[in-house]
Amino acid sequence: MLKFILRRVLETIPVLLCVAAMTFFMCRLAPGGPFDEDKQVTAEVRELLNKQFNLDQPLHKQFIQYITHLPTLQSFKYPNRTVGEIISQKFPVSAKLGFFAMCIALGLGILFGVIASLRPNTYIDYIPSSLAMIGICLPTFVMGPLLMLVFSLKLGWFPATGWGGFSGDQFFASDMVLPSVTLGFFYAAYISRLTRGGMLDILTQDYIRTAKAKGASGLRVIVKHSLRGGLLPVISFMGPAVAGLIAGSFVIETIFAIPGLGQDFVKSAFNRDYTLVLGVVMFYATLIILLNLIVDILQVTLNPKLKFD
Amino acid sequence: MNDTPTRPDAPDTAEKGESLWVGAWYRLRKNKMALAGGVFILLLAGLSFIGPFFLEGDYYTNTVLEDKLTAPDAEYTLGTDHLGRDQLGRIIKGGQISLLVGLVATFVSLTIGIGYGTISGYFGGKIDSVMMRIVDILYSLPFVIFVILLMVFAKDLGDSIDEWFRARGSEFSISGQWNMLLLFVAIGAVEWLTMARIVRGQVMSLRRQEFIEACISLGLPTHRILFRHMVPNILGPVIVYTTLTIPAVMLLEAFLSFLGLGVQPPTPSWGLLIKDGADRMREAWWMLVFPGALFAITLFSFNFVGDGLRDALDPKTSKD
Repeated sequence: MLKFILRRVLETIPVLLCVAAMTFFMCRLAPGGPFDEDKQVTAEVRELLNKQFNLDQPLHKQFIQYITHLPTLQSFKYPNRTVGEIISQKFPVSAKLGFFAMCIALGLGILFGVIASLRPNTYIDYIPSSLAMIGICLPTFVMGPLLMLVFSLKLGWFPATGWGGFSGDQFFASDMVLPSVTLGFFYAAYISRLTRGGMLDILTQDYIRTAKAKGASGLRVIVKHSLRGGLLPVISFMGPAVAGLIAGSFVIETIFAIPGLGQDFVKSAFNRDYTLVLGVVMFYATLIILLNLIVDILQVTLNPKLKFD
Repeated sequence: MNDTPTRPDAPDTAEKGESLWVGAWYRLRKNKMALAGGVFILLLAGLSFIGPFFLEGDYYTNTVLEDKLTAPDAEYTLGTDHLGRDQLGRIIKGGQISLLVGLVATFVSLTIGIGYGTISGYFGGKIDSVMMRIVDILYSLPFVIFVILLMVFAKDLGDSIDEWFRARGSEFSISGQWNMLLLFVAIGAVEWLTMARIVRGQVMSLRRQEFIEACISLGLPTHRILFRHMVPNILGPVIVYTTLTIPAVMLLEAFLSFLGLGVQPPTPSWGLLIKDGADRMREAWWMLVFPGALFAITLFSFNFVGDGLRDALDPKTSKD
């Protein structure tokens, strides 16, 4: 097990280096630069700026400097702030959104999936399953504005933009409901389908019949005996789900005007803010790879069959 | 579907294949949702690709400012947008663009996926484990981020290419179509991973069958074995996964357009129309609801057709 973890951790180093190189050279070989929009700068000012940000040095030297000093580098757009500062200030906002979305996704998804699997091909199954199909087909950028239109503009139940709850000190505020639901609904739908499929496979196994025969209560059979195996497909979906949540947060943060890292990333790419782009990409890549590793370890612990491979 | 040509060089599979396709069509016909989805997609494709021939040339850019933000009425069936353009015309053109991106980018990903998966599965051993490890690693990368970067940074590259040709006295110009080309490549380049995995699995199981061993012992060249004998036999799962890739690709295109990175105005795509609608939903609900609903129904239909085809072509893996 330790060897497996060590090998995977060591493997991430070249992968992250490749990500850094791809991002860096994609940024730098493309036409345009961070100071293109300020048309009025004179040649001398431009030269000074280039010097200040080390843009006058050869590319490979810049690359080495970028990857060794990434968190302490200055942003091009906000020259008095470092990449590390911006990420550590903005990421908690996005993480909070992702956390609540994930709670909704896992809570609703597993609940409805289990309910549907207990009575397959009856109305108890059809209703959650068709709800799930709607959730999978309705993109977040359609659902977000629609929910906003109905629940905040017409009914006035929730505030339309989520400025206070996510960046303030409160753990939860009413303006966080709509963004979290919008982001989490797709994953709730997908997870309920995975749970239903996984549970259907498990519930027909002999050992479940044995458990029932020895007199275990219905709830005990589900929680103790079936869920461990039935949730395996859900666990293996968690890695891609987190990557998807990050991409989804770009859109949700734009729709609901939430000041998170996702919005900053898209803006920084438009601004050619090379240091911030690289910083955010590396941050997200590390996060995703790390979470994938955790998911893999979880999978091996939950499924003894995998241990022998 | 049931007129699979009988190949004289593979009599064994041809006979099996025919019964598979006939059976599949029989099972598909019983699946009402999949059929309805298929009919909807055909109608939509007809409307967006043939419909424009019956409309005036500027049907999606014609601006009538005094009619801006008109609610749906007799003259404008689906209302007008913030510049007084007919919403119906824009949805038709948008559907054309969205479907086009969906089909072409899917084709790109299909080509890469089949090529990669076939090679990896056929050669096996070291080559296979290295190639699949690469796919695993690519899977764990934040690909949407790269697509966004590519769309932003390569945006002006089209102009640079034009300049390069102009400097050499050529009239060649690419910048008009550049963004679409970029979309095809960027989306196609990320959506091939699952296809490669599916194809590899299929090829690996085919590899051990007698007719492939017969091909090898006949001394056929590798490329002939791969593309004449392997690829036709993996068509079933490939077709199923293709129908499921198209909506994923259309979703990615709409996602990019929504962020302002995809198709460039005034050409509409559904993602752009939804974005415009979301910006103005307070005063004009029809700008959001119509394109949004149509897009959702389209994705719905593709998914139903894909699921139906999977159940029809491979009854064993179907869960229900």
